[in-house]
Amino acid sequence: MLLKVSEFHTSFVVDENFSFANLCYFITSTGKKAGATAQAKEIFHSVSDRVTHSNGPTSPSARSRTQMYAVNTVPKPNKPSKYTPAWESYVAANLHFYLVPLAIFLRRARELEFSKAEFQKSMNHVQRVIRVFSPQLVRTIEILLDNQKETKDIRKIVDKHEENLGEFSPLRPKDGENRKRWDLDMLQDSMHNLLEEIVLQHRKTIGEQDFFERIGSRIEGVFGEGSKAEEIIISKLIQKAKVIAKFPSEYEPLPNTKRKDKGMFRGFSNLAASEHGQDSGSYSPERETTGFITEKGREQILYGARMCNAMNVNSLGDPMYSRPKSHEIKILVKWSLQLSNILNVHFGLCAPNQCKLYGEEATSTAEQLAKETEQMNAVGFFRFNLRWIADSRNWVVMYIGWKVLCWKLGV
Amino acid sequence: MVSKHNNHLTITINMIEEALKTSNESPAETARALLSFFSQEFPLGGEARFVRFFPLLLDRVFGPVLSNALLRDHEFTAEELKSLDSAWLLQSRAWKTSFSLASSGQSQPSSYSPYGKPHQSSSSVPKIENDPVVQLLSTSQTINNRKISHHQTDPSQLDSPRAPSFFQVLSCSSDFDLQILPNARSAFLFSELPRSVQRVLIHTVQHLGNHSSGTVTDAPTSSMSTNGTQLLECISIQPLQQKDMVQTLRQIISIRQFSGGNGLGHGNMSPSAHSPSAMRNAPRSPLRVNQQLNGGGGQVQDVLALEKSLKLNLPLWEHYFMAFIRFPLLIGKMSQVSKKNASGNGSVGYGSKRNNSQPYGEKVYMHLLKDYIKYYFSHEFDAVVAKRSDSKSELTDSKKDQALIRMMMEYWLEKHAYSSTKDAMMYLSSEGGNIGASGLQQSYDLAQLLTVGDKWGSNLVGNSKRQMYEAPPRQVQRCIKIAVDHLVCDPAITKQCKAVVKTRNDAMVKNEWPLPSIQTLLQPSLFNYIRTALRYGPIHVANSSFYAAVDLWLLWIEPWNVAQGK
Repeated sequence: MLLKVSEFHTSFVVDENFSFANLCYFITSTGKKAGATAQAKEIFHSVSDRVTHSNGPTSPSARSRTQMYAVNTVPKPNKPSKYTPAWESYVAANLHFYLVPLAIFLRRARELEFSKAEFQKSMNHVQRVIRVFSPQLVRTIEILLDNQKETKDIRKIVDKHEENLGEFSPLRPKDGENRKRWDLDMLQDSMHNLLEEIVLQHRKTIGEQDFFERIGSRIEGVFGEGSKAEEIIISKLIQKAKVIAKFPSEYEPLPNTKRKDKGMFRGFSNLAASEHGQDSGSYSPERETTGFITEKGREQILYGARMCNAMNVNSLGDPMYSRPKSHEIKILVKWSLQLSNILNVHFGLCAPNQCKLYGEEATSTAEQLAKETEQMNAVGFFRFNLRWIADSRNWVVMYIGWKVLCWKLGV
Repeated sequence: MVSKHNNHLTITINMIEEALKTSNESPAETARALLSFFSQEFPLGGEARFVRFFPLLLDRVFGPVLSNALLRDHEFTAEELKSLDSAWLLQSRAWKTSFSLASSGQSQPSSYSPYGKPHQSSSSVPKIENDPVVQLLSTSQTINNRKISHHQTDPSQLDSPRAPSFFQVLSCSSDFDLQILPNARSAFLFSELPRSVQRVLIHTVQHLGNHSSGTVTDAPTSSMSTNGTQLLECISIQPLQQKDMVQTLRQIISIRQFSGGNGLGHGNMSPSAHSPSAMRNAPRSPLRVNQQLNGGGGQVQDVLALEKSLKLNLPLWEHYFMAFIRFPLLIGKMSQVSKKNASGNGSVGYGSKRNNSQPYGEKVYMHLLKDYIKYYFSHEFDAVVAKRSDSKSELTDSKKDQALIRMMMEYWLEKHAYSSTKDAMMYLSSEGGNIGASGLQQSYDLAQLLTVGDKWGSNLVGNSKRQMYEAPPRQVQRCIKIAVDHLVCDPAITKQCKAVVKTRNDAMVKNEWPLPSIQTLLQPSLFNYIRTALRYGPIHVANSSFYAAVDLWLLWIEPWNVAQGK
C-alpha cells in the first residue's frame, strides 16, 4: 500500500517495505536539516498516525479516526440561526423541545431584570432563545403542527417522538379531533407580556435619565451604544417575535404614550408634575393632581372605559429631597439643600422646609409624599436647587474647565 | 519459582490494601502501586486479590457510600466527614507527584484523545492525563492496549496477552482469560441505588410475596418507572436471585406493613395511588401515622437498622459506575455541608477555596467522565478504536452504554418524580383551571411537581408530600452538560437526518427515525428536566439551574451549530 504525504514541505511516498523506524529517522533528520525540530516532531506525530493506519484496517473511517473532531460552537445572541430544512427530521423528532420549553421560557422571562444595569445581560438570554426560531424553523414547526396530508410522512416521526415521551407528552389534538390545532400563535400572550416588560422598563430607564445621563447616552449613541443601541436591539427583537408568535405587522408591544418632551432639562424638574396621566391619551382614567386615581377613575377602569398604563405611574415626592445618589457627595447634598432652602425662603419662592432627605426618617406614606408633591407644584416657575453642587461629575467638569482656562490664559 | 512469585504477589497486595485503608496515603503513590500491580502482578494470579480490594479502592476514590447520605440535611458525624474528606476525588488540592511518570521507567501509554491533538509531550507540562489516578481509572490504557494488540503481527506476541488495565479488568474486556471477575459481585447499599430502581425492587418483592413467583421482568411494572425497570434489566444480575436481599426486603415491608396499618401487599404501589385525585380523597392525618409508628416501638428502630444494612450485590462494573455517577451528587452535598460548617467556624472547606478555582478532585472527575462518555458513547468517526472488535463485546458494550445512560438519567435527571400530563391536568382542573384547554400556553402549568409517596409505597398520607423543587448541584449540572454536549455532537445525528430527508425526497423508505438510540433513551428525562428547571429554577440567582437549563435546552435544539472538521 502506498501512502502519499503531501501536505508537508517534503513530499514523499511510503511503501510497505519502508519500516516505521526508517521513516522516523527520515523525518527527524529532515527536520534537523531544515533546522526546525518542532516542525519535525509535528511531522513525526502526524505521519505516525498515518503509518498506524497503513498497518491496520484500511477502511475510510479508520483512516480518518485521529483527525476528526466535532465541536459545539455557541453562537452569539445576535447571530442568525444556521437552521436549514435538512434538519427538519431532527425538529420532528424533538418537536416538543421546540415548543414546551419555549412556552415556559417566555412566561418566565418576564421576571428578568431589564433595568439599565441588567439590560444587556437579560436581553442576551432572551435573544439567545429568540434567535433559534428563525423564519425557516418557524415554518418547519408550522408544517409539523399542521395536519396536512402532504406532511404525513414527517409527522410519523412526531408521533414516534410523542410515543417516546410517553405519559409526559403534551396532549396535542390529533387528526379529526375537534380541538384547536396547536400553533405558535398560542404564545402571543406570553410573548406580548415579555415584550411589554422590556419596552416598559426601557422607557422608564430613559424617563429617569437626568441631564448628564441624557448627554452621555447621546454620546454613546454615536458609538452605537447606550439607549439608542438598546432601542435597535428591542426593535429587532420585536421583529423576530412577530414572526414567531404571528403578531400583525403593525403590532407594538406598548403603544407610544405622548409624553411631554422637556428636552435636556427634564431631569431638573419633577416628572409627576407634568403628567398625571392626562397626556397619555384619552384612555387614561381620571386622576387627582397628585396622580392618584379618583373614585370616578376607578369606576372607569372597572367598566372597561379606561385602561391603566404602567408608564403613567409617576414618582411621588420632591426630587430635590431624594436619597443621595451614588455619584453625589453626601455631605455636600445636605449643605447644598440647606443653602437652596435659605435662598428660596429669602426670595420668597418657598416656605421653610425641614431639609430632610427621604430615607433619613421613618418611611413616608404615599399621602405624605403626595402632599409634598402638591407643595412642590405650588412653587412657581423657578426655585433654587443647588443640589448639582453635590454631583461629583460636575466637579470633574469644573476642574477640567478650570485647567483648560488656565492653559488658555497661560497661568 | 512459583512460590517466590506468590510471596511477591502477597506482599504487593498487602501493601496495596494497607495503602487503600490508610486515609492519608498519597493518591498518586497508591495509584502508581496499582498501575504496577495491573502490569506485573495481575497476570500472575491477582484476580481474586483484585476482587478483594475492589471495595476498598472505591471507598478510597469516591469515599464510602453512606446510607441515605444524599438525603441527609447536614447530619454527618465527624467520623463520616473524615472518611468522606479523605476520598481522592473530594480533595481540593492536587496531590503531590514526587516524580513524573515518564521518568519513572514504566512504560506508560501516551494520552488518548479522540478529538484533541494526539501525542502531546507528557513529561514537561504537568497535565491531568499524566496524573497516576487518572491513568489508573481512565480508559486510555485500555484503548492503547487494544491498539497495540490490534496491530501485533508477531504470532509469539499474540500468544501472550498484554497486561490488562484497571478498566479492562473492570469491564472484563481484557485479552486475559478471566475466571473469577465475570462472576464477582460487590455489595452496594440499597438506599443509595437510584430511587426508581429501589421502587421497582420493592414493588417486585412485594408482588412476589403475593404471587410467590415471577421475575423482575414479568412483574406488573407497567405503571412503574420504565427507566428503573430497564436499568435493572441492563444490570447483568438478577436481583431477585439474591435471597438474602429479598428476604430482608420482605422483612422490612412486612414490618412497615404492620406499623403502618395499611397493606403494602395489595398492589397499591402504582403512582396513580399518589396522583392528585387519589391524594385528595385519602384522609389527611399525619398524626395517625406518627402514632402508628410510635406504637411500633422497637420495630421502627429495627426496620431503620435493616434498611441501613440492606445491600444489593452488583457486578463490579455496575458497582463502579453506580458509585461514579452518584459521585457528583455527593460532591454537591459535601460542598453544602462544608459551606455550612465554614460559615459556622470561618474555615475553608471543600469547594470553597479562596481563589474560587475548581477543586482538583472535581477536575479529575470531570476528566474521567469525559473519558468514559467518549468511550461508551463514541462518535461514529472514533468508533473504530478497537472498542467493538467482535460482535460479542459489541453486544456487551451496547448493554453497558444503556446501563450507563440510564444511571445518568436516574441519578442526575430524575431527581424529582415528574407528574404525567394527565395528572397535571387533573390537578389543574381541581384548582379551577380548564381541563379541556390543553394548549401550548398551558405548558408552564403542566410542568408540575405533584405529591409523591415514599418508596415503600405506603399510601398513608403522612408519607406522601408535595415535592419542593431542589436544583441539582452545580457539579451535576456540569456533568449533564458534558454528556448532552457530547451526544449532540454525534455525527450520526447529521448523517441520519440527511438520510431521512433523502429517503423522503426519493419517496422510498418512510417512517425513519433520525436520532441515535442513546439520544432517544435520554429524550423523555431530559425533556422533564429542562421544563421543570425552566419553571421552578430561580431567575434572579446568577448561574442558577434556570440558566443551566436554558443552556442545555439550546444545546439540544441546535445540533446545526456543531462544527465537524479534520
